Amino acid sequence: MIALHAERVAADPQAVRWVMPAGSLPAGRIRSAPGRLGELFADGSLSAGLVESTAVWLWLREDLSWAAHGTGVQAALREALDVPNNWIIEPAPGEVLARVTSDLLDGSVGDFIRSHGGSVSVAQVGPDLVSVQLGGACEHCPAAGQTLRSRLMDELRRRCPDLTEVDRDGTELTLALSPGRG
Amino acid sequence: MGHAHHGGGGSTTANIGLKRFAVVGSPNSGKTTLFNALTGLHAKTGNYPGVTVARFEGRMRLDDRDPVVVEDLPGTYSLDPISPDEQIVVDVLDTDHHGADHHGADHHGSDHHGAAVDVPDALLVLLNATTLRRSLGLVAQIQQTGLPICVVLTFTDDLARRQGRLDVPALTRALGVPVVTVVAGRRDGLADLRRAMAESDSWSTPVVAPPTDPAEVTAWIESVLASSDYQVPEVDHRTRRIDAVVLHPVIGTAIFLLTMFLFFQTIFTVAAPLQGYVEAGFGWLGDLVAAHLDIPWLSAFLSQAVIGGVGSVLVFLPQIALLFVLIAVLEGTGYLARAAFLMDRVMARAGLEGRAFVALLSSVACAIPGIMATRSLPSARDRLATMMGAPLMTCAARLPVYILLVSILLPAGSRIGPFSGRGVVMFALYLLGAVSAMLVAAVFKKFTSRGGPVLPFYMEMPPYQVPRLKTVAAEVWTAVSAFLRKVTSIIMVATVVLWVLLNLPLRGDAELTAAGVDTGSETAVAAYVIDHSYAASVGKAVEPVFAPLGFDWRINIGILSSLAAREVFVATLGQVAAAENPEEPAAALTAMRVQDGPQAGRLLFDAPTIAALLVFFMYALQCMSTVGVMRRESGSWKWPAIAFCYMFALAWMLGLAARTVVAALW
Amino acid sequence: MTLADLDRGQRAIVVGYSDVVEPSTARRLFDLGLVPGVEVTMIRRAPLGDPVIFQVGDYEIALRGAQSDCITVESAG
Repeated sequence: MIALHAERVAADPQAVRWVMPAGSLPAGRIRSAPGRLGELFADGSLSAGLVESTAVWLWLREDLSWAAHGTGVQAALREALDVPNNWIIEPAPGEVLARVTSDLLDGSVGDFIRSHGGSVSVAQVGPDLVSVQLGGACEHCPAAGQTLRSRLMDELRRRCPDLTEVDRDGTELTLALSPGRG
Repeated sequence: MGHAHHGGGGSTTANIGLKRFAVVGSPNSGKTTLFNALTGLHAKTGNYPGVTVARFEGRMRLDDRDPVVVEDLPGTYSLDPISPDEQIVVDVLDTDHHGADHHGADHHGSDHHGAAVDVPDALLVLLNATTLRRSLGLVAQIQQTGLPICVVLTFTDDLARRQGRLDVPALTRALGVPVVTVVAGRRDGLADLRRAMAESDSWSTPVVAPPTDPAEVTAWIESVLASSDYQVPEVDHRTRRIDAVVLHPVIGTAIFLLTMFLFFQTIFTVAAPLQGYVEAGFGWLGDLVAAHLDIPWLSAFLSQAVIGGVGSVLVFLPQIALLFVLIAVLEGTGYLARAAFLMDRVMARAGLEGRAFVALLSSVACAIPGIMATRSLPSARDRLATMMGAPLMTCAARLPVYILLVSILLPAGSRIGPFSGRGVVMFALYLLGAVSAMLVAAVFKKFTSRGGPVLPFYMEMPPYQVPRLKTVAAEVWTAVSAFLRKVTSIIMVATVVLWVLLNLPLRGDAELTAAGVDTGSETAVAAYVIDHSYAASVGKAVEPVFAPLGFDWRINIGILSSLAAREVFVATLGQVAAAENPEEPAAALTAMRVQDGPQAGRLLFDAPTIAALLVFFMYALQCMSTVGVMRRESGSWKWPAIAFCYMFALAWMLGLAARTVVAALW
Repeated sequence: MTLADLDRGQRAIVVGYSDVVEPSTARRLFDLGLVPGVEVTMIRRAPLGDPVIFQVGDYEIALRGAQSDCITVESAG
């Protein structure tokens, strides 16, 4: 039986991050899924789905709650993960990266930045590029910028081992996933 | 031992309206330590209605608001109960059926509130960080109850020491509930927990409830642990190496026997000089009173009843304290689990198990901590059977009686073979007490069925630790203070009451002269007063019961008074003897003769009578404190009543047998 | 092969429980972590022959022959 557990997404109550063993599915946007899970996508109960290397993100329709539907979705997901080849996932490295990065920045790394008076924002700037903008106190503190950047990169790489820094311009980082992977 | 207790039967009526936390966790998760740390020594001990399961509830203050109530639920591995303890946890957490009387008519008139146990407002779920894979299943089950929970991780220091690893923030995210670490013995160890408890209204809950199906739960646990970067701790090499010696077939057995030998040596030799000081102290106090108080009755009262009665018991305090220290240290290091392991096969022959040995061993100091030590036994049947046998272990209270009687029986220098005669008899009494305790426990185990499923034997071997001074001190203090409470309340009261009954009714001179007593002689007057006192009437009234054992009314008063506490026997006899011979009460005892009846003129304390008396004290339940603890631990009066009756019957019959045998052989 | 058959230091993987095991015993063994797939090692036997200490996963447990007889295992490595 596949190892699976659900994690809350800080900024988004309609989303749940389902953590699974790395590499169970290729990363990208979910177009369709087998079995019951596919039905849930088809009838709109699940409004969107995204796969990163270690988790599946699922969004419930606005009027539905995870409290009511969580167990059902879990069972469907579990069943669908048994047949990874029957999923249709289109690569969307930029979207995946943006999602992972903002999730991380909603958590402890972001808290750290914000507690020092800084601010951080994420934007997808290309099909496979993400830009991370540090602001506030970070703008005027070169040393802080350095520490923050390396810490940010470390955390991001833990979640997304294929991450590379493409460009750095002052307080703006441009990130991408290594080509041909994830 | 290990449980702080406070008085008897805890009433929880005072706690209505306060916020309730319940501590849940498996038996080895460090619950007791945490509970004690949270509630200090202010926990009340009681019982869950109708079952042999102890209940602990205490209060604590979180910041300046109202105090909160913390209840330490019985240890449980899961919410699929296979024992009454685990059933309690399930019932307490059963939010669907609260208010209903789910123990049926089984109340046995238990002391507190007929109401069912209150449902907690929030739960602290204790997980041992070194056994996380096994314990997360409990978390999944508990989350089905819908109660707000906070996970408390213990033994994280052990985890680190053994090269294990755990990312606590990641675990918090994966579980969806607050996770707090506590490290025992550290001053600030509880700060995080206290903060979390203060914010219990805003504890997060998982977005999706964990699965219920066992296979899915296992997968869920794997996922949670993987994402928490959990590194399983290595084998505890230190414990492994120590056990290689301590549990070695030859060396280990030798160490065990040596430990037992040291244990018993403490009772006699080590404590002796300390006892000498206490004795001297009381003697000095008694002289002081006699010298300075001119009111004869008050002087007599203070020196005989109070100082004599209480003092003769407190003489044993150093001994008792030392024994408790030994037990607490042995337990703190983890050695007692090894002792239980070594003795399990022997105990199994009696239908019991190794941990019952530890409980019986603790009873050598005093049956009260021994009976409380039965809490370590997972099986309720085992607990009860051991509890019924524990009072037969030769406890410190019997010592003053044994010592007095043996010194009358055998002169100081007498020898049996190469050994001291008195020593041999004392050893025989200890041995007989131990064997009887085992036999009785075996019989009770066999013939009582508490219903419910059969519990298999298993014992977790805890790692060796350096015992924490604070814990040892707390345990010793708990036991010693229970003893002191017994002395100052029960023994004091009994001795005083007896003193009063022995010296009333007062006899006027006219009456005395008419009876042919020389009113000028204090001794003669005292002797007459005692012989015709209220106490004497009672003693004579019960003569038919004890006459076959060769007891006269004086011994009878002693026995009746010692029903409160065995030590009172010595005080009682001491007063009776002192009335006859204030200078040499001991000589008076030796010279006492039966006053009337078919055996008039016979030496009262002859060998057959002493034998009967020794055996009687070996078996009879003469301790109100023990009765009280039994009631509390077993949940009703039924079991202490059965214990009292069977022990009295045994004492009487075997006393008679002893008398007959000794009369034939002496 | 059952758990009771292991020699000192021998490692094995738990396969399952025998049919005769009581439900309460099965539950307790499960709770203690003796589940199919877990690795166990026989550590030492008591001087009188029973009980026996096993390393089960991350900790040590003492079991009597009556219980270890009910657990089927297969040799590891």
